[in-house]
Amino acid sequence: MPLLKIDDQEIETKAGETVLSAALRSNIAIPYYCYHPALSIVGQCRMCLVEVKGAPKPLTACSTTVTPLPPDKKIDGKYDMVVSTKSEITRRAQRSVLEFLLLNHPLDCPICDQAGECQLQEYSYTYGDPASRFDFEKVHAPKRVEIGPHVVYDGERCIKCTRCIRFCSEVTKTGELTLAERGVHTLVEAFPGRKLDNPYSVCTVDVCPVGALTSREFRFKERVWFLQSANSVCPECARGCSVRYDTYKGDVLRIVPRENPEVNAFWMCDYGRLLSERLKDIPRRDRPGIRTEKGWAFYSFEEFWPIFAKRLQASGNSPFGAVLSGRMTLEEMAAYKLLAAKVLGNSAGTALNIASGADDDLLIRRERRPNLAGARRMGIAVSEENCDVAALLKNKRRAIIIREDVVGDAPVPQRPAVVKALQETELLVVAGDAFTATAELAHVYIPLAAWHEMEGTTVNFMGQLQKTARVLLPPRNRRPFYDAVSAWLKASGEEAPEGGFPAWFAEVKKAVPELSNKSLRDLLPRGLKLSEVAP
Amino acid sequence: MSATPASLLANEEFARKVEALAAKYPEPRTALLACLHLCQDELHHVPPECQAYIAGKLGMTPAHVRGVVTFYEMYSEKPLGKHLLQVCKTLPCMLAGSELLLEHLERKLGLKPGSTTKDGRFTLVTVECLACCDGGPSLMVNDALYKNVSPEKADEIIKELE
Repeated sequence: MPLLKIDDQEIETKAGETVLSAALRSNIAIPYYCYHPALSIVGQCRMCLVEVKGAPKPLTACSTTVTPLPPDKKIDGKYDMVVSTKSEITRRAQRSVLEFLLLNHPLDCPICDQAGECQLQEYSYTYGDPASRFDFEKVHAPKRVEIGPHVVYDGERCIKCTRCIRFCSEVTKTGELTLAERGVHTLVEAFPGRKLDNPYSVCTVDVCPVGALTSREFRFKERVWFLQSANSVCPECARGCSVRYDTYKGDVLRIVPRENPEVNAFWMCDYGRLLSERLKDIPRRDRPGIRTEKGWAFYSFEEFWPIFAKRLQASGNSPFGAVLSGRMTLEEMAAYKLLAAKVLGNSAGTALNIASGADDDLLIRRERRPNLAGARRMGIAVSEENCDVAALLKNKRRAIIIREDVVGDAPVPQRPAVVKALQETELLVVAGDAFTATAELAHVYIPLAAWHEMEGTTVNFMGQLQKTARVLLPPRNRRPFYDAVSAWLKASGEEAPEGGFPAWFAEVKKAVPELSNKSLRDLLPRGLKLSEVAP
Repeated sequence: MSATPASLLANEEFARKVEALAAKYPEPRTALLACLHLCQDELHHVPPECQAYIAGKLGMTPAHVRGVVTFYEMYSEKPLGKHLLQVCKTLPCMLAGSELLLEHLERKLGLKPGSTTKDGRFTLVTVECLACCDGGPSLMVNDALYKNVSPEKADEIIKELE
């Protein structure tokens, strides 16, 4: 294989490898804008120009493959190609390209959402000239163009790298975008009367290396350097995309995909991403409550359990009908199984399979819950798609519903029957992170931490086990279900794992033999592929 | 009665011509420039609805076709006049007096470069080199190239058009 020398480093290249890819995997810095590992190579931005020994002018590292020389022509007797990233020629090329890219750039960093994560800023700092020689009127271009329902385009900040265009034509294959006009007037545009509105449109904002494409939902929310981030998993379908939550002062401001070749490559769908907006509308109750004829009475977490235990005792000992959810983490499922064995009279419980739409070719799955594969592995039954919840609760005097909006998710014709079945129970316990229409019907409400407010593990439809993070701290009386179970078991005079997530992860390890010699560290950052299990 | 975008798209003859062009190449999209010329010649412009139509015929996205239309000077998205006057403004023609020619045409037609007379008869534009530096000032009228065009000669050329 050809031997490449970049600066002082020798690199054994792979067949057909480019200079840029060899440099990136050897931790050698070459700046680039238009190159993206998941997109075709176009050599559009010229930022990766490097001096190649023997070449008459600098070459783009992204599109130059390292080719073998005949044995007698090797450079210094052994190299097939010698590249310099620090020579005067390379430096001058980098400076000049940046000067061109910034010629008509508005330099509006103080009000630009990309500031702080902008490659123009980064490279100007590292490779650019401190002063501009351009003192003419800049060419102006359209700004604030609503190029799609969730994406806003700024023609003056755009460096025409075409990453967004290639994303739409190569990844989603929808081809909404193009470069229109020519030269300094070139703009990224959608066809007249059409919009950038595919289900993955905001990924164009992720791939945009500058502030030209911004997310309509995140625009002007917060300077990115004030955000606090945590790596977690998207809960909106069975794919379980690896994501990063960015928060500020207790609010989730945006959710962005994390690279994970095992799950979602570099992408995520707009629906999952816009969970950050839907979180604002979720009705919460932050204290556990018991409903009597006089209405709801709410308590602190500690006050609640003795009162609840009494209410439970008074309800007799008939078996519980239990409706579980693919939104429970493995730890919560383990907690439910222990609870069922010790307190609920072995009520097996069924996790609802909520489904809608269809699997697409990229990421979106018809199965709308993140951890149903986990439920199957934990030995919890998973219902048929969109099953009739009323039938599950038939003849049950006591019922518990965990992490599900059963009334809200029931198909419309089933809804009255579900409401009736719930109303006919003598004791209905609803545990969830939202105070939903289902919770309104309950006799007992146990508030739970939401998906992004607790640690846990989850298994996607391909068997990838990933760890979720406590992105935000929930109010003190709203806790993960496993913490509620610890308190419940104690109030019922049973022994329970103490110590929150690590203790319950140990319970999961007991149930999933493959994990027995794994630690949490093995799950980061991309998760762990579990072997196939017989259905 | 000249063609409108709607009448062109309804015209089976046009559809046949586009399909014949596409059939000439292993990749139908190779015929794009030729198809756009066809439309430009018929309508004196290539409006978005025709771009989308051609895109459909050639298996391309409308956005891609629009990128091509806006890249080339020879296609226009806005209707041009019946007669297109292109004055060369490159250095050799300028030295030979194309500035005078341009001023004359502007005055005569009451136009600024890049605009069309109200009656839709003439569009005046300036262009880069017409590859005729030995015969400046050069003027291209529709498909015909004229050399050594003095203001008087320009008048005659235009008179013949009328």
